Amino acid sequence: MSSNSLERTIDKVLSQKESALISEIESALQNSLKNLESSKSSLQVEYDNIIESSKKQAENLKRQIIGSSTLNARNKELVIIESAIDEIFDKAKEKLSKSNNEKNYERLLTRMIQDSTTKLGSEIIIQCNKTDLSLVKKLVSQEASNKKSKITVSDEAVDIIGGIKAVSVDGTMSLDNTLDSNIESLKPLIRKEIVQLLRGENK
Amino acid sequence: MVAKGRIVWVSGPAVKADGMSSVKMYETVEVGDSKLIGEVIRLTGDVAFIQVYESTSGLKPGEDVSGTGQPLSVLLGPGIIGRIYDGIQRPLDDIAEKSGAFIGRGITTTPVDMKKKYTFTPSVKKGDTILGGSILGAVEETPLLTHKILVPPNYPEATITEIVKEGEYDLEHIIGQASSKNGDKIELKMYHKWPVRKPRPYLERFDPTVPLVTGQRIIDTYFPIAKGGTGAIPGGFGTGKTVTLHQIAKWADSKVVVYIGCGERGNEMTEVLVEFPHLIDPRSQRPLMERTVLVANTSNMPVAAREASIYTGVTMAEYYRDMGYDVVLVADSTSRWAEALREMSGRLEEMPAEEGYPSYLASRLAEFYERAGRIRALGSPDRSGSVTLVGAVSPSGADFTEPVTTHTIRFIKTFWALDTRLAYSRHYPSINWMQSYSGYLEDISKWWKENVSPDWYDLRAESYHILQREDTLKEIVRLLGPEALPDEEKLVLEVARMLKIGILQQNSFDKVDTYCGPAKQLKLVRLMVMFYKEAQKALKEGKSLADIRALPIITTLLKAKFEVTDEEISKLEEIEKQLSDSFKGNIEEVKVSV
Amino acid sequence: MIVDGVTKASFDELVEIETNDGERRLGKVLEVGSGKAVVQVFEGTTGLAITGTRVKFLGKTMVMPVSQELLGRVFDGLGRPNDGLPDPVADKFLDVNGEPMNPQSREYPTSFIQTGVSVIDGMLTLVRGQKLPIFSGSGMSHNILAAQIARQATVVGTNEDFAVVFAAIGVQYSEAQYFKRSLEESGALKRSVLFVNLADDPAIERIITPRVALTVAEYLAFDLGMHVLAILTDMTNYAEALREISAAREEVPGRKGYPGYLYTDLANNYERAGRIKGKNGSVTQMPILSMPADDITHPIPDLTGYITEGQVVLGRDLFRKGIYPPVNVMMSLSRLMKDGVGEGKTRSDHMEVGNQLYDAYSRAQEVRALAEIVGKAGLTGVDLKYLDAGDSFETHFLKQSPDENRNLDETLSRAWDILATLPEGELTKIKDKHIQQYYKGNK
Repeated sequence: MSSNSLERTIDKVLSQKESALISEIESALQNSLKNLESSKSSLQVEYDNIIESSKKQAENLKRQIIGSSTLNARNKELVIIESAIDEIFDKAKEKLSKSNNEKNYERLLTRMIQDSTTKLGSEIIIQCNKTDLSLVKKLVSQEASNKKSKITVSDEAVDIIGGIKAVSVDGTMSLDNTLDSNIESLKPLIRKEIVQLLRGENK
Repeated sequence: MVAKGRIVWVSGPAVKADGMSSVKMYETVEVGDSKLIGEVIRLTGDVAFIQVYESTSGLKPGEDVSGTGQPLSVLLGPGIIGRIYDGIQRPLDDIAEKSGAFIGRGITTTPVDMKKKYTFTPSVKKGDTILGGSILGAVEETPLLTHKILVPPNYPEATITEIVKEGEYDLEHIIGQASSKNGDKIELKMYHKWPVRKPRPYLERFDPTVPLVTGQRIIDTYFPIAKGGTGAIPGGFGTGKTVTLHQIAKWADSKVVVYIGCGERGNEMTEVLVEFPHLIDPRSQRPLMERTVLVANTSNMPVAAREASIYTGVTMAEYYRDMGYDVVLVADSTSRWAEALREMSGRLEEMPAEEGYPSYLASRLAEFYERAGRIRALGSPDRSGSVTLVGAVSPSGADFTEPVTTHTIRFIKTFWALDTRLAYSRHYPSINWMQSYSGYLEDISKWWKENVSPDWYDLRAESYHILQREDTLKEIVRLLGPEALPDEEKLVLEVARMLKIGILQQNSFDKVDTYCGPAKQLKLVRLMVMFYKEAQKALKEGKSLADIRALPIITTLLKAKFEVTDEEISKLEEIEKQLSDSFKGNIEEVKVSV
Repeated sequence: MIVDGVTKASFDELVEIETNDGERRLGKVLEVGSGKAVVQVFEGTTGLAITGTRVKFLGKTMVMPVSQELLGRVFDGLGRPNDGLPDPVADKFLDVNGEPMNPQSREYPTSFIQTGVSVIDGMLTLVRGQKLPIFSGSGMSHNILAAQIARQATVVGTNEDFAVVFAAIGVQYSEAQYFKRSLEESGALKRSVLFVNLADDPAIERIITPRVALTVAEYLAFDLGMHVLAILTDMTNYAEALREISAAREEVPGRKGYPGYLYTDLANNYERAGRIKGKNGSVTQMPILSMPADDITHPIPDLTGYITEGQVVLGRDLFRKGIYPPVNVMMSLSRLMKDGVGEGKTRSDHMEVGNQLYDAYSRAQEVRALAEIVGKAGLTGVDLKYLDAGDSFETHFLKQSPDENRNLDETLSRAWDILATLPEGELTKIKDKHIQQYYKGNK
């Protein structure tokens, strides 16, 4: 084999090697470029995701905050209205407890006594507050003479604004006809009216 | 004398009243200050047990109870068709007018509009003899239905002394007078009342020989019911009971349909109300509502009225039967009715039988189904009519051994067993073809032979045989896999699959598939049987099963049920040609490839 | 409890019981006659002495005060405030028992509700005014699913939000709290009303809880014209309470000791859903119940299924596989789907695609069972395709995240993805024109 041919062979080998190397380098470059590109795009995706989810969270948070703050404001209003209602009720009760001398009240008591006998039978015991005691006794004696009922008025006064409590003699049945309980049972309706008044004024 | 008593005890729909010695059993009474409607269901001394048809909330001991002297009755006359009633024949639209969208209490209404005028055409004249049940004349109740005016069945023989001329009259108008043999004067109107618990009398009963065509393939072809027959359809929830009943109510070839929604969903009744006026009867091209009456006592309505609703419905059905019509009554669901019995029985502290049901459950069910039948009506002219009864049963836990199902089976002849497993795989109607049966098959096969095709019985038997074989083969497949079977048997599985998809399954929500006329039913079955025979032949000639399975004709066959309408039945002839061609074609192909 | 010396009591009347130490409880009359009244005490009879206990007959049936102000509030199982705020000011007082809706006055439900949950929208469509329960088992994710539906439910084409009425019946504190937080976080609390009867509250109170909740739901819907989603959880606890009362009264029992009137009683609650002609609002009900021992034939799920318009059944297998929502579609059903979907409502292929998915998944299940015996080698080519379709149904369609809101187009597109794995000839439930339009597989 001549040196020439040897050189040629070497050259050939070298150039082959070189082009292989070059192509390898190129492909490596391409690969890394691709990798870079893809990591860039995946980064972008991840980035977008983070932004998206934080946007979502922010949106949720916003909704939550708006939701709960309107709710809180409304709830505060409810509490304020309620204290106003309580105040009105207290005043009303105070006023009622002073109304014992009015003619209307006498009629009311008479009706309550009659009501008690029809519901509990003719033999009953009646209780009332201190201030009403003499009035109730007077009304009971009128009522008892009208009908054949036996009504006892207990001297033991109870702490109520007005009205009466009645118990059948055997103690099994009782009727609560106090102003207190009447107000209590009407309270929801009265509250509705008060609130309408309050809100109406606000507007 | 009318009884007047006082309430002594209240518990739910059950009320006890004393001072009721002059009241009769099953008499209607007015209960309490708000005059709730009730019925006496037991008498002990002067204490009456009353079931109240409305909510008893707020009722107190001491309130009055007064008798009406009348048993619980329905009013029978023109104006019933197209309406929706509660369990005691109060129109729900009138109730809505009086109490709004929610049902109030103590509402009185008349079942039909007494002021509405109908054109009455008499068919009897002065001097004619009439009997109980005779036809006096007719009015057009709806464009679909001529309402025959009947003499009340319990009236004696009499001679017409006066009859009005053709003209417009309301229901209270006296349209005729007659005098009986012993000289009693009888006034005739266009309506009468009849107690619901008493079956209306007839002259004689016939054997059922004519099928009730429902347009549902699995019913008409495989498990038919006859006009005047009885059928039950038990199934767990979600098996499509109600849909199947709706289908029967929509498409059955009867003159009148009475649909009782007994203790079921409110929206289901609304669905009927919304849908029926828009559905067109395939035979008369008129809205289906013009032949339908609804009785609705939904699950949240008072339980006692649920008990009554069945009787209210069946009495109206018998009335139209007596005019000479075929009537179908559909009751959904008899289980809820049985539960109403159980609840009342429990409140009355009666001795319970199985699962708390009263011991008379079986006899009550028997009495109900006995009211079905094809009969010759009383009076003149001679005519026959039928009442077909179809009852849904809702067994708890889909367990067919529970009391209502087991007792019902004793009194019915067609049994459509709904299968939860079929429903789960969306095979609708989920009627199990191995468990169901029909006792009318032989009786009605003559009709099919004469009216549709002479080979009906054989085609039915051949196709059913394929399904039976599949049922046994399925066991083997479950254990060994499909590859363990020879090709001949694999073909059976394939054709059974085609029968299931192409014949047994029927989509009631598809415009075309919802109704399938007898001719199309038969034709589809014939195509399937033909396919089976051709395929068998091809297998024998050496063609592979895989090639047969790949034939495009299979998809065509499976879709024919909704791609071909009843009107274009000739298209099925084309498919038949394609079918035989595709086998020819394939066999040639096989030859070429060899 | 039996009260003596009663002359003026009426059936169903509300009573107030005062114990020896002055505590007050509520109850109602179950039976009255011969000077006696049988009273059911809502807060239990513990601590009631035979002598000295007083009973007050209030002369009215139980009522619930209702008004718009109820939104955003929390109440106890009897409808009393539980959030430290005052009693609501009532616009009206409504009998908690309600009255049966006249079928003639009902409007048939047909408006599609998009829940954003593929399996529900695609195959078990919910419509406004429907009652669709979730049948679950202990420990499964029913609450997460119900909360997701409550947050995401919208009527397509409108911007109307649902008001949520939530009734917790004998549930644990954490479950009730989960719901409240979920509504709070999505800002939905201000359009919600909550009723809470916890596991350690008196059982008898549970009889009332769904009734007050549904009374409020009906008011919001039919008086104020809102679309209401009522979630009742857990109805099994309700039925247990009913059984307890029945047993105490020594009534003749029906199945498994439950009273014979269980069906009627449940129906009186469940039927309080729907729409009314000429009114804007609707009550859509979603009761949740846990099936004892996962048994669907148990009387409670059984009777419920007979009343409700379908059921969403959760499956233990899917739950164990970690699939959310673990809906067993084969056992589930929406009866009103057919009327809420299709041309002009959703999409013309919707119903057919749903049916075909059912069919495909059911075939897949059969093939799976077969493959366990004969191995994959014993299956035919088509069988294998079904196996793939079954798997991709579970991972690509059924499975989704609790905060993932899919619109209907996405749901249907996913459905067609699954159908694309099957040969065209297998799609026997779909009309040819829809196959041409949407089928993605090889033709």
